[in-house]
Amino acid sequence: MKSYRKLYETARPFIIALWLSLLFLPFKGISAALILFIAISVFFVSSKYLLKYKNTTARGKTFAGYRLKAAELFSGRFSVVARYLLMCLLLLIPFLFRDYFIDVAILAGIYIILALGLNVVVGFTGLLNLGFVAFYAIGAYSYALLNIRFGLDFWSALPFSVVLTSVAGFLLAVPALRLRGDYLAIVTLGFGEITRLILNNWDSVTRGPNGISGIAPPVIMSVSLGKLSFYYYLVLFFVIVTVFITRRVYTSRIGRAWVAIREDEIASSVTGINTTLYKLYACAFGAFWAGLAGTSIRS
Amino acid sequence: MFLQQLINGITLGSVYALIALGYSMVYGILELINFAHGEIYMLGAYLGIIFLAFFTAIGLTAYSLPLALLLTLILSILFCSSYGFTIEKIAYKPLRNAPRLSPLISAIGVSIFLQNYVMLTQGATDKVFPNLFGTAGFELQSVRMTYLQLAIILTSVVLMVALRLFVRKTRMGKAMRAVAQDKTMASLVGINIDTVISVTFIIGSGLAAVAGLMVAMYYGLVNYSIGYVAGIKAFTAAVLGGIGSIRGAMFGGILLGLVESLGGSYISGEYKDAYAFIILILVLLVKPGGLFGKAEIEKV
Repeated sequence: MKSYRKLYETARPFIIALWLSLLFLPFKGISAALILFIAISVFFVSSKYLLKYKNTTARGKTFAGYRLKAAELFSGRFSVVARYLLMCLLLLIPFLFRDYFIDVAILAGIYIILALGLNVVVGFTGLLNLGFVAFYAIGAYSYALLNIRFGLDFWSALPFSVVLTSVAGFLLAVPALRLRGDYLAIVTLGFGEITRLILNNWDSVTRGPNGISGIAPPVIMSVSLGKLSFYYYLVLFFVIVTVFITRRVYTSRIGRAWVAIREDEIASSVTGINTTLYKLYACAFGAFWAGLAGTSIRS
Repeated sequence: MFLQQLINGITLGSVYALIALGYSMVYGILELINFAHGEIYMLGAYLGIIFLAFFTAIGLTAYSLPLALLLTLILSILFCSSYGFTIEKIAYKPLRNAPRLSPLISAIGVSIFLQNYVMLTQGATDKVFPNLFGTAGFELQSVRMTYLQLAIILTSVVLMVALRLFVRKTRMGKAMRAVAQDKTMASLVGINIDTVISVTFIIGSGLAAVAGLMVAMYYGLVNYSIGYVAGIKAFTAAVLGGIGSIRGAMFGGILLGLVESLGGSYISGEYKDAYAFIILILVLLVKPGGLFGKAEIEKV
């Protein structure tokens, strides 16, 4: 019996490799599957010998252990210096890197704003919203339409489009209030899909799949921010505003109410938090930032 | 016209029902929305085309078409079940004790991985399923039903009946019901949870493989992205019928197919995808647990 166990243990990497390459076989042919088999076997066998020298403690293996290790890196005096250095680096990116990277950085900034908005809904309040991107689309389209049809420039259209998205978040949350976790997920997913279909098919208003082009970039003091590096600073400013406000909200009374709703909805309503109202606040607040992100995409 | 759309709707709906069964079963046991299930369906469609091409290349199709089709079916079911089993072992098993959101995100990751896997290995252009059946069918009072539609409906019905018998009458079915009710107690009573979960994934993926193959035959075109749309619709069907309930998945799938077909032909073809969601939202407003769902009593 014991010898069978030992045989199984030594053959295990090859069995796994064989299984995975057999699964791969219909898609790319025999030679590719053979290469995959060899690659996986080599990987498993080598990792077994490499990991032997790693001294894994019990603390190192757990989730909390990993989190503590990362936290150690950013605590103490080192973190203050690191933070200032990082901030300087962020401010200097347009001078240090070429255009493509600035474009990626702008995209990253917009995703940060979007993620922070989602963090309010899913992270603080625990409302699983899979169709959050619909608010991003509403923000983008509302700015585009306000610009093309009414001639509003970026700074005057911004409050309208962001508030419009916030109202959309409020309205779309109303039917979803009663639903528990996974039903909420699918209903919000449905809302996302419906929004996508409406925006894609309502040709008279949204120009359908052709999209809207020629939207004016923002202008400050008659300096157009269309240039890539200027736009980067605009997005950086928005990101800083978003991070600041969401962090402050987290420690405020409303933020604590949201966290309470996430932890235990019944208990929080028992202690006097109007869960319905705060859930609507959360969706509207999250949609606000999604609208900001949508308005800021560089077209 | 109405009857014609009815038949089309039932055909489409039975495909959705097969996929929705996989969603429902996995949710009933693991409380996990398996977003990768739509991709298994897509894999089934692709594997059907690949195996049929292989059998054509070695000359089996010319020799005997039914045999080639049968072998294609068996092989694609085998492979898709293996994919489902492997996905569960790699992406979901390590996260069994993690908070609810982690396996969900893992499922989304698996979905993205499988889509790109097929896109990179098989190309991003549509793949064609050879047109073996044509539009041969029969007419019945100005309603036309092709043999393929009849085959799809019959296959789905047979599989659903077989699944129901399996879950009701066999020991493994009883074990699956037990694990869906209470995982801890089931393991205390002596049921091997890992085996039951693997069997669930295998059966669900097998059904999705059949659905994929049938859709490949029905529409003739497959693409690496068909999994996403079909997955969402099938998940909607499962939720419509009450997620976790097998009867609900079957009913929800057929209802969804009917809604899509009738709505698409009578109201507007452009918003075809939206009718499913609208019906879902309406049903959930009235009955938050879905049509056959159990009323979730939240314990304080």
